[in-house]
This record gives sequence, C-alpha cells and structure tokens, in this order.
Amino acid sequence: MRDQKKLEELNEEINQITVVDEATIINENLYNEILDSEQNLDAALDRLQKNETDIVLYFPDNILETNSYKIFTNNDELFQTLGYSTYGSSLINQSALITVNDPQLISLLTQNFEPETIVVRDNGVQDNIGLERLIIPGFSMLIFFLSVFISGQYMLQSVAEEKENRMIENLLSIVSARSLIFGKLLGLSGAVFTQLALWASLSILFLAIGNSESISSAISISSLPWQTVPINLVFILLGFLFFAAVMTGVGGVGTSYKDSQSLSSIFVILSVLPIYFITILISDPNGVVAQIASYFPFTSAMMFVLRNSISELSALEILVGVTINIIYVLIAGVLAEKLFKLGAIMYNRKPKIGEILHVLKSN
Amino acid sequence: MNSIIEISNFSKSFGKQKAVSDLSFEVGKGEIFAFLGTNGSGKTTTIRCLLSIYQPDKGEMLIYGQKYNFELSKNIGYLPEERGIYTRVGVMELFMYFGSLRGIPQKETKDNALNYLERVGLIEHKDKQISQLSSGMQQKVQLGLALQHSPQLLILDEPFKGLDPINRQLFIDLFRELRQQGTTILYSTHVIDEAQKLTDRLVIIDKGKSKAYGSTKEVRKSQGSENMHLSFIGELPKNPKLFKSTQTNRTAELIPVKGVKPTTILKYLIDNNLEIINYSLDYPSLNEVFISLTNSNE
Repeated sequence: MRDQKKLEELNEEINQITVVDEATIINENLYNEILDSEQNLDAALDRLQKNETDIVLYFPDNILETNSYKIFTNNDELFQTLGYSTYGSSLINQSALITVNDPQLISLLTQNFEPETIVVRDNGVQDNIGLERLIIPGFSMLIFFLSVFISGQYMLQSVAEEKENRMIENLLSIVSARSLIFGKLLGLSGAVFTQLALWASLSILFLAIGNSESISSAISISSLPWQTVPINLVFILLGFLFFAAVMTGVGGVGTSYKDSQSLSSIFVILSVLPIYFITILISDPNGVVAQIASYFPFTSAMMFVLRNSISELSALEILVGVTINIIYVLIAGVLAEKLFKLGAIMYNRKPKIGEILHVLKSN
Repeated sequence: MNSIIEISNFSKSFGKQKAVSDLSFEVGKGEIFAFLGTNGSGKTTTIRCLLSIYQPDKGEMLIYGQKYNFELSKNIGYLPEERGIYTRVGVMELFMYFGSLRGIPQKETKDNALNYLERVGLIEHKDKQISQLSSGMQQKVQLGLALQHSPQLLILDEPFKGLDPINRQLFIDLFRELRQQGTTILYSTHVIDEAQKLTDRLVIIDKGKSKAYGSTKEVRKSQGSENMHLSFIGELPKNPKLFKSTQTNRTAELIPVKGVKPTTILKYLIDNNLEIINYSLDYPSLNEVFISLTNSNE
C-alpha cells in the first residue's frame, strides 16, 4: 500500500522517530524499534537535542479542531524536512486504516482513482476532457510558438542584418528578391523543422528510457486524439509561412535589426492576442470570440490549431480554415516582397507611409 | 559601335522628386565608360534601374540587347555604392558563398579567389575573418566578389570611394588590365582626376539630366576653346577680366575670357613677375568641364 511504502522509505533514511500523541490517534501497533513514543513534548525535545531521535511528531489533543500537528527535527535540509510532513500524514492514515477490517474498503481507501470526465454535447457527441486531452493542444501550441515566433524572429534577423550590413544590394544583383526571400524561407523551414524533429526524437527517447510505466499508467497514450495532429501540422506550417512573410516585410522596412524588432512587436502582440482570452477560448472553442479570432489573419492559424485540438472541427471548417490561411500566406508573401523591394536598399531611413501605400497598391 | 549597354530616354522619379530625366547613352564593347556626376545627381539610381533593382518610370535600358535578367548576371559583375559585407565570415568562405550563389563550381571559385587575392596583395589574409580586415582590404574583397565569375561587363558604382591613393592606383591598374582582356567597364564617380586618366568615353549628369556625352576628348573640346595649362613659381595673379583660373599647388589651368587671346594673358603673367616653368594650350580639363557643367544651373 502506498502509505505503508512511504513509511518504509522514510524509515530507511532515519534511525529514530518519536511520537508525542496527546490526541491518541496513532495506532499502537504501528510502533516498532524505529518509531517510539513519549508522554510529553519536553521529554521528546530533550531527546531530539541529545540526538537520540531524528524527528519528533507532536499530535496535540486539539488536532481535530486545529487540523494541525507539529514536526520537530534537527535536520535543516529543505527537501528532507518536506518529506517528514508526508510521514506524519501517512502515520495518521495508517492508524485509521488499521481500524478498518474490510479488505475491499481498505483497497478503496488506498487506491488512486482516475476519473474520466465526458462532456455530452448538444448533438450527442461525447468529448473526453481528461488530462490527456490537454497533451495534444499543449504540444501543438508549444510547437506553434516555437516554429512560428522563434523562426519568425530568425527571418527578421536574417533580413534586417543583411540590410543593415549593406549586403542586400550585392545579393539582389545576383538573385531576384523573390528568390532571395524564398531561399531564406526554405533554409529557415529546413532549420526549424529539423530542430523540431530533433526535439521530438529526444522527447521520444526520454520517454523510452525514462519511467515509461508510470507515464503510461497516468496517461492513456492510445486515447489521445492523434487524428488532430496532421491538421495541426498543416496550420502550424501555414502560420509559420505567414509570420515569416510578415517578418520579411518588417525586416525590409526597418532601418536596422533593432528598429525592425521594435516594428515587429506590433505584429507579435497582434498574433498572441488569443492568449489573453485563453480561458474563454478553451471553455468555448466554438464561441464568438474564437470564431472572430479564427478569421483574423494574425491569429487564424493559431486559433485553428487550438480549436482543432480541443474541439471537433467539421471538415468544412477545416477546409475553410486551410483555404483562408493559404490566402493569407499568399497575400502576406506578395506584400512582403513589395515591402522588401521598397525598403531593402533604402538605407538610413524608413519608407514613409505614403511610399508604403503606393508600393502596396502598385502591380 | 558595338554597344553592350544602351540607355535611351530613361526617367525615374521618387514620389514628386525627379531623380533622372530623359537620360540616354551607350557603352561600347571593351571600353571604360565613366558615369560622372555630383553626389545625388542620379548615378546610383540609373545603375540600380539598369540592374532592375528599381524599375524605371520611362525609357529603355538594355544590356546585351535585353532588359536585365538574372541569366545576364552570370556575365555581369556589380560593385554597389553602398559597401556591405558579412563581417563574421572568413574571406575564402565569402568567396565560396557568392560562388555558390552564382552557380560556379567550387574548384573554379577557389582558384579564381586565390588568384585575385594574390593579385591585390591579400593572399596572406585569406583565412582571416572579414572583420579583421581594414576597410580598404574589405573593399578589395568586395571588388573580388564582383570579379569572381570573370564577367564580360563590370558595373562599378563609385569604385574609388574611400580608397587611399595606393589602392586607388591598384584599382586603376586592375581596370586597365581587364580592359585589355576585353572586359567592358561602366563606372560611376565624382573623382574626376582618375576619370581623365582611365576613361575612353563618358557621360556627365547633373540633377538627373545629361550635360555632356562622348569621348573624353570630345567632351573637353565641346566645352570651349583651348585653355592654358601652366606650371610656375611664385603667386598666380588674378584678373577676372582676362581669365578664370583653377590652381593646384604650382600648376594652374587658365580659362580665357571670351575674346581674350592666350598671348595677352601670358604677357600679363610675365608682367606680374610670375616665373613660368612650363606652358601648354589644351582643351579644358575634365575637371574644369565637370565643374563648369555641374555649377551652371546653380
């Protein structure tokens, strides 16, 4: 049994425990050569000072009113003393369990139950909302943030630094702006997704060599909604391409990497807006807020990843989501190329709003 | 003339500001052609439009008979005015990177780079980081990048900018060697002394408009009668009724006022005790032409 196991583990680390049980709640059968008792606290503390005992557990007579007991020890190591508190609680639990004779009842009292919460939707669909339901959304969002925002920053740095160190014009005489942007995107995608693959491999390796039994007992891997993963990956890729395009345009317009970073913060804030409404979005993934955010260019991909992970999107919604995100990527790509061409060789000054609007309107 | 570059009626504006108006010139095969103008006169804009970095508003800009495309870039070397270079990479690494962008085989890139570094005296720096090189050395590396694929046409925007006299001469010698090998060079500058020594033909622009175009001699000849070039000891007397003068140490170019004969001026100088060491009559120097043309509208 779990409490018994804890007691045995602690007993291995300490030589003597003394109990002062004014409330008479500890069962006498639990005392042994390691666990003894004292009638009063002073005597017990005296023994503690003389190192005749390692811990004094003091259960006062009003323990039921105060819900509190004291542990005295001469060991000031934080993590060990934290363990002593579980020792006292385990002792109380064991004392209570000894009085129960029914083995089935003891089993019920000592087992860890894992409730499974199922939400029955209006349409009769049953959604499992156990802890494991958060694994796929959690990982998806983590990958989204890592790939989209971190790599977006890499893209920004790459464009802005080349502009800052005046390499751009040299490069543009050899390759077209479109080829240069596309090449950067391709290289960056390769780097980011290799990085992600490496992290995923390490995680799998870690799970394989770690305590996989305890993980599999806590999480039912097979019950995870794996079918959502491919769709999430599609939205992550689209979000990555969209954000990289935005950062290309911003990098082209800024006068330096630092300046471009300041400019990019506007778009980063726009993109992470859903985080501020995360509780609303999780509690109602198909509500008005979620719907609006799903079609706003800067939050669309992230919202579809989130909604696809925590609720069941219809095939039509997924199709519309993918289509609209492809359109956003194409528009962002075209605008980014125009801004890049406008600003890439505009040194020491940013293009004026009028110039930006003019170039965005031009064919 | 077998033209490599043909620019006709080219205009470009930025917003309401007219950068270049109705500019036309041609660059012949194997010649060194200077594109002269003051700062902000439209030289860089013209070159950028020629290379399709900017789009021209009007006119035609052809290289080898076609609008610039990236297929042509295999045969063109370009040195931009805005000098830029990756500073955290090695010299050879940079050559290899640009070589791969141009699709040159690695061995060829390496051999060409080593030959070039040897020629410009940078061979012992080949393994250094760019950031460890002086600005002059970095400029040599940049020129090397423009030359690494042995282009038939070189477009150089202010190639002498920021160079000390020794490196300036090195670049001049290098350009002459390239001309002998058949390379066509179009370069922009406002350093006129080098242009007179180096250039076969030229165009002078001011505020985006062409002011003079032709061979160096033609342009000089077109800008007035023969000027007096003299070297002397003493102080050059001034007489605006007879001549204007441009003086450099103990040499001067005197531009006679219309109707005044050189002999009259010579007499005036001798009467004012100027010891003349050398004297010749020649067309106005390119420097004088440049100053008179670019000052005339101000």
